Amino acid sequence: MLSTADPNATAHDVFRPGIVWRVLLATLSAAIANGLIAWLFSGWLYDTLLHPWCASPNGEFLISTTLATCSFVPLTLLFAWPFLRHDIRWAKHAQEGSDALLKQARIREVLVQGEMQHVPPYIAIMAQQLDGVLQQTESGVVATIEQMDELHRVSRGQVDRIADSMHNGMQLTEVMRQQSSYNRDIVDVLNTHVGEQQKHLSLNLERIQRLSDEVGALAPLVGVISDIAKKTNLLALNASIEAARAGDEGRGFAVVADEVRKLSVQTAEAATVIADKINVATQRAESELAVAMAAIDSQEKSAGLKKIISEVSEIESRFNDGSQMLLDVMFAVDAGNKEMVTRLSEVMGHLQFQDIVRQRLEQVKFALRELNDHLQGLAQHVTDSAWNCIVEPSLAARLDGHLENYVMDSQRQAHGSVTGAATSDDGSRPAIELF
Amino acid sequence: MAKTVLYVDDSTTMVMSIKSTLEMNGFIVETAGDGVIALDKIKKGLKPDLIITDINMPNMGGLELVKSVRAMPGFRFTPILTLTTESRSDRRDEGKKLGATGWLVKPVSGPNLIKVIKQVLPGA
Repeated sequence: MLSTADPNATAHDVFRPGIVWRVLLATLSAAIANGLIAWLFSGWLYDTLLHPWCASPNGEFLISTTLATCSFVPLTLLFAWPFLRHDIRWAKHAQEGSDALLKQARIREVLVQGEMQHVPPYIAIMAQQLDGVLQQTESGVVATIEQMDELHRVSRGQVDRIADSMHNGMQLTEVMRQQSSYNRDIVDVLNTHVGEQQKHLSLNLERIQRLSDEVGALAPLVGVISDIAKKTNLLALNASIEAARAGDEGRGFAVVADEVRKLSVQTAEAATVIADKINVATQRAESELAVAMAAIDSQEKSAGLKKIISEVSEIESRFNDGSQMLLDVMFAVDAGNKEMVTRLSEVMGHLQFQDIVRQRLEQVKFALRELNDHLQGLAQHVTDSAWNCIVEPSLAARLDGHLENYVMDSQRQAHGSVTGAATSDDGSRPAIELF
Repeated sequence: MAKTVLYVDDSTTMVMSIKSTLEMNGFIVETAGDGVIALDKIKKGLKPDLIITDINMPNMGGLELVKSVRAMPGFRFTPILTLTTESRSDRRDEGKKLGATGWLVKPVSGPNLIKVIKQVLPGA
């Protein structure tokens, strides 16, 4: 309840202090003067007026009283002038001031009424501005969320494709791992085979060496035998000639010579046989040599195979390294995407500010509408002569109502910082509370 | 298997923000603008693994929604989180009494929200 005016507020302005005493003093002076006049003129008055005209004492009393009263009023007014002239002037000024104030109040009332007409559109414009702010922040936040959703969608697509690649890469790596194991087995088999080949080659070479040695050892013998056979044959021929020249004495010698010749022939035949055998041995040696050459050629080919195997192993190693690198990249991209999701989620949380701003601005809009209603009510009261000077609800009560309707600690704290109202301890409870 | 979350809020930006956050983290999200719409969806067969609701909404607020959902068969143990600007203790206590699982005051960061969801929704 609010009292806006005191009905006795202008009484002290109209009457000067001490006026009661001055009125009493003027009245007393007038009464004394009236008594003095009555006493001075009573004999003359009785002789000239009362006695001739009045037949009874009651008539005399009535006339004398009337005359005394009639004289008292002008005397009172006369005596009031010196005592109350300043009060009269004072009252006149007060009346003029009151008239001016009343006129000014009427002017102000008209002005206030005129201004009050602008309050509803003023508040409506402010509310509209707040709506505009809300719409702008909302559209901005919506656009931001849409962009972040699109960003996440693109990123998710990339991650999915990378995941497919990762799956394929892991499959390929597994295949390559199996193939590497298989290749290693093959390489082991080939290495064993090459080792055996080298062993055979060494044996062949040894055999060739032995044959060559044997052939080499036989060749001088054939020449010696052949020379012996030729010389023996020549000797036998000479012996035959000498035996023939000796005649009968040489007959026995001729037999010997013939035997020697036969021996030389046999020796020559033996040399031929040996030569044949040497030829056979030579052919065999050549054959073994051909085998050895083939083995050498095979060994050379094996060296080429080893090189190929080595290169294949190197390629496999490089491929494994590449596959591992690819997997590392894929894992890094996946980790990056998870980090991006975390950060986007953080941003989404920050964007919740718009809802908080919206609720606070809507509360301000409500308060503005309430203020408008209050001001309009006051304006109506001012022009209402029957107003009981009570404003219900008062602005203070409306403010207290706001304090009850706030939902956020920040609203209550802002209110309390201005009004000094104590805020609740709701802020002491955690923002996240599981029951 | 992805868990389904029903998010109830009358704020467009909150719905978009929470929906995106949850979907980024592998949840399936259904939304409703107030308690009446949410209840209607549940009555039509929606069986969310988790319900997250605002408190101050038109038509039907979050506390009334909690009370109604708890009274429905099959939702006695469904986790219900409130996500609201409302911070008054008496409202929190009322939410707890009606069967809410937890009370989250806006704003809540995405990672914190996911952390809370994993606490109340094992296997998420």
